[in-house]
This record gives sequence, structure tokens and C-alpha cells, in this order.
Amino acid sequence: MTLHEAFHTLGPNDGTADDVRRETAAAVVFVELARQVRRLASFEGDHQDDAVQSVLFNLVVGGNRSESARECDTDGRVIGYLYNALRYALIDQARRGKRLRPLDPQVHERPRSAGVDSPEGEAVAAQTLAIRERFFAEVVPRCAEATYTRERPRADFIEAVAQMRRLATEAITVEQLRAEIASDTGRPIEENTLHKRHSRARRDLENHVRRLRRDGLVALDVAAEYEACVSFLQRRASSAREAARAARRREP
Amino acid sequence: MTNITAHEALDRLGFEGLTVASAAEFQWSATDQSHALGAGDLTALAFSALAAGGFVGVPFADVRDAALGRLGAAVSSSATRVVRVEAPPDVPLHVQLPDGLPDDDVAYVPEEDPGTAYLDLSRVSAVVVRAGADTVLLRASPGGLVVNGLERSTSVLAPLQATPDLAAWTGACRDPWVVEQVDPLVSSGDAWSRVVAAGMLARLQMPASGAQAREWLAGFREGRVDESVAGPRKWARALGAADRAAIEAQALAESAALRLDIEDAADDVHADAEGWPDLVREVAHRRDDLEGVLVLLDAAGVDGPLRTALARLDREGQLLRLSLPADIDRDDERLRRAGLKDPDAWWSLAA
Repeated sequence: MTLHEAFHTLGPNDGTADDVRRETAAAVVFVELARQVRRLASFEGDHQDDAVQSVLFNLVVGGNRSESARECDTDGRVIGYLYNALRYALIDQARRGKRLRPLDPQVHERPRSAGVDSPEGEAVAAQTLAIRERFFAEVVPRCAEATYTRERPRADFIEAVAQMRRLATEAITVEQLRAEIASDTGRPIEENTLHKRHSRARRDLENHVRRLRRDGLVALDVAAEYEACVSFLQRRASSAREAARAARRREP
Repeated sequence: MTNITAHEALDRLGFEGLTVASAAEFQWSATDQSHALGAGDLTALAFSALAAGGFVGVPFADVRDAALGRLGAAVSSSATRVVRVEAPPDVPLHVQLPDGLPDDDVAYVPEEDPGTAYLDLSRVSAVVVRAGADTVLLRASPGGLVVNGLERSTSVLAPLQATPDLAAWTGACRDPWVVEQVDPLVSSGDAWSRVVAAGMLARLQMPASGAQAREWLAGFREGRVDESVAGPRKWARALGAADRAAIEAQALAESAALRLDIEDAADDVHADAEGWPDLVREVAHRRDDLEGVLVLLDAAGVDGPLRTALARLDREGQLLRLSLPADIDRDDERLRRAGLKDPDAWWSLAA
């Protein structure tokens, strides 16, 4: 039984002849989980074993029927999925055991993985920053090319991402951005119009990252970091927008 | 006649759960001649060329019908088959296109006016457009534009011929959290709630510790049957065709309604607004309800349009997740479990 056959065969026993096959499948997946968890070296041994048991249980009890699990049609994709599930389970354990701090929402550009208080965590953080740089330097232009056939919308998309990044890093406020656009174009721009423009750009980025992941063009953890970059843009832009609103509400 | 029925179109767009409430048909505009673009035939110009020019000078004829609700619409000629739709002021416009073509090739939204969209119905079989409470399906026909007003389904799942034996399954369940969640639904007379409860039992159970997981898996390897997780699956497998179809139809209706609610939540990300975080949590729980039902339908061998509908819904959900402010309260046991069952589940709301 191959790994991906085993992965899709998993399920709880129901007293039928299929139970033997399911048990065999669980044994195959267990071996791979035990191998994968060793890649997550920054987590301690006991926690690693707990995570393996927990992930296998969750896969047996319904987890392997999700859409993302069903999409795993090769051993390689199953391995990626298992790694991701183990990483998630270990982070969950750490959070529950208070060994991870929640991210500080005030810290800009801080990578998603940087909550781990360890040298390994710092190394991961550096890697994450490199991925973020790659995201803006390479992924965004490629997304523009893949999404838009016309030059004008392509340029608008790139500009929208640049605007969101400036909002996200608080280099500019929404009101300042609107004033800047009005000055450049000679036309005022409503906040709602700006928000919709940014929403469309984020949707394009999200779709592009999903395609990269689906087609196996990037590793799962890199895709997750790219998604975190999109999230970073959205959250900060939204926060700035909220701040602008809150300020207006405070006006007499 | 269009080449595709309303039902087929909604299926393709992942909106099969919406109900067709009204219909109207309009003729394409009679003129191809644009004074602004010169006396040439507009058919010579591709959609992309017209979009590059912002559709300036392209003749459109306004159309009106109750089926459109508050949406404004105008049609071009039968040669170009472009429809312009407009949302009322301050109401976000949503356009859902079929997969397969870059949006840019078949839809144009002016940068300066995101409440307006130009849609190339010569290249896409159907489009769903929504602004606020008004949702319409647009299709092209040789004679013109077919508009169907769409509504959320109000149907309620009728009592099933085979009711799930929730009491027996919760009796065998060793996960107190799941029992606590399911108990109120056991006494519910609502057939859908009972199906959702069966799905929660089938999918959401978790060991309290690594030791408990080890013990459960050891029993599993020895061939032990845990009725609390096997029972719902066996019940689903034994369902008759009518019950299966009824559950799937209800799940599709819920999926379509949920997708609209997710769009609404994502339209106005506003974490400090009263009720917004609760709205996000509610849609996340409803999505998880559907995942449990999906596990049951999967066990029953049903592999129909629900997965397509959920795949489309999840794209909207993923955008909603990405828009959550970093400091929003994510402490929710159900959603934590959803993430552990599927690390890619947007509705786990994981940071």
C-alpha cells in the first residue's frame, strides 16, 4: 500500500472486513508521521510523540476527508500535508502549554513564525523575512502577469499592492493616501473605492498563491508564508482603515 | 435559448442552493455603431480592447425589470454581448464568474468605480452578480440577456425516514466537550440540527491528551469499534436515496446562504464594530457544521455538487480569514479542533 493510498484509506473501524485494511493504512501513515516529526527539531521529544498520535487520530476520525486532504494525489503531497498537520499540532500544544507568546499586533513586518522563544525560532524568523522579500519582489509581479492580460489593470494591481504595503507598515495613513491619489490623478477617491481596489488585489494574490500550492510549484510551508504576507497586507490595511474610521467617529 | 439552464449555471458557479425566484429576458441593443469610436463595427473590437478604453463611447441600452431588484443593468449589441451592471451607491458589488478564464478577460471593473462591472457574456456561460439583498444570474441567449432573480432557499429539512440515534452515540462518546455540544441538538426537533450533531460526533472528537490518543489508537489496531464515531457513519451509509438527496439539498442551500454571509462579513472588516467578531465566529461555526455533514455524505458515497459549492465558498472564506485583524479573539474550542482536523481550514481562523 503506497502512502497516498494509505492516507485516503484511513477511517474508523466499523466492524466490517474493511477494518483490516484501515489498520494497515494507519500503520503506513504512522511510519511517515514519525519520520516527518523529526524534521520539526525545535519541539521536544514527548511533544513530538503526542503530536504524531494526535495527528493520526484526527486523520482517522474524519480529517482525511477534507478537501485539502483529498487533493493529495501523490505521496509527495501527502508528505507535505502530514508535515503541515504535525507543525500545526505542535504549535497548538505549545500554545496550550503557554510555551508560545501570541504575536504582538503592534510589531510591523514581524514574521508569523517569530513567536518561538528559541534560537531555532530566530532562524525561522530570518527565513520568513527572506520569503517575505521574495513575495514582494517576485510573487507579486508574477501574479500580475498571470492574472491580467492587459497592461493597465496589471499596473493598477501592482500599485494597489504597493499602497497596501505602505498602509501595512504605517508609512502612510488612509487619509494621506487618498490625498496623494487625488493629487496625482486630479480626482478625489472615496475610501470605499480604495478599499474595494485593495480587496480585489488581495483576492488576486490569494488566488495566485492557491494556484502555486495546488500545482505543487511551491512547498506547503512556503505557500503558508506567502499567505501570511497577503494576510499581513489585509490586516494592516484594514487596521489603518479602522483607525481612520474611529478617528472620524471621535470628531464632534 | 441559452445553451445552459439556470440550474446548470448555478451548479457550475457553486450556487446550486439558491432558488430561482423570477425571470426576465431583454433583447440586445439594436446598434453596433459607436460615434465615439468611429463608424466601424464594434464586433471588430475584442472585449479587452473595449475595456482598455474604459467602454467609453460604446453604446448600451438600459434595461429594467423587477428581477434585477436595485441593480442597474444595460446591454450592448448582440455582436459584443457585453452587459453593464451597477450596484446602488455605497453597496458593494460582487461578481462570481465560472472557473477557467482569467477574470480580466471577461470582466472589467473600472478602477474609479468599483460599483460597476462590464461582463462579456459572449465568453462565459453565466455570471452571478450581487449587491446587498439583490442577487441575479445573468446568461446570454441568441436573442438577448436572460436574468434570473435569485433568493436564499427557505426550505427546511423534513424529518428523515431514518433518524440518527444521537443518544446512543453520545452515550459511547468519551469526549465530554463533544457531548456537551451535541446534547442540546439531541433534544431538538429540527432534522437539520440532528444531522449536524451526527456530523460533529463523526468528526470533531479529540483525545484529551497524547496518552488518550495512544490508548484509542491501540484499541483501533486491535480492531475495536468505537460506536461514537462509527455509528454516525454506519447510519449515513444506510440512508435511503430520498434521505441522502434531502440532506444534500439542505447542505447546498446552507452553503449558498453561508457564502453570501461570508461575502457580507468580508465586505466590511471592522473588528471593533459591535457584533462583527461574533458574525465571523458564527460563519466559521456554520462552515464547520457543513464539514461534518460532508463527512457523513462522504461515508454515504455521495460525491455530488456540495464539494464544488464548498470549494467556491472556501475561496471567499479564505479571504475573510486573511482579513481578520491580528488581535481578534480566536479562543474557540470548536475552531481549534477544526484546525487540528484540517490545518488548511480557513474557518479555524488560525493566525
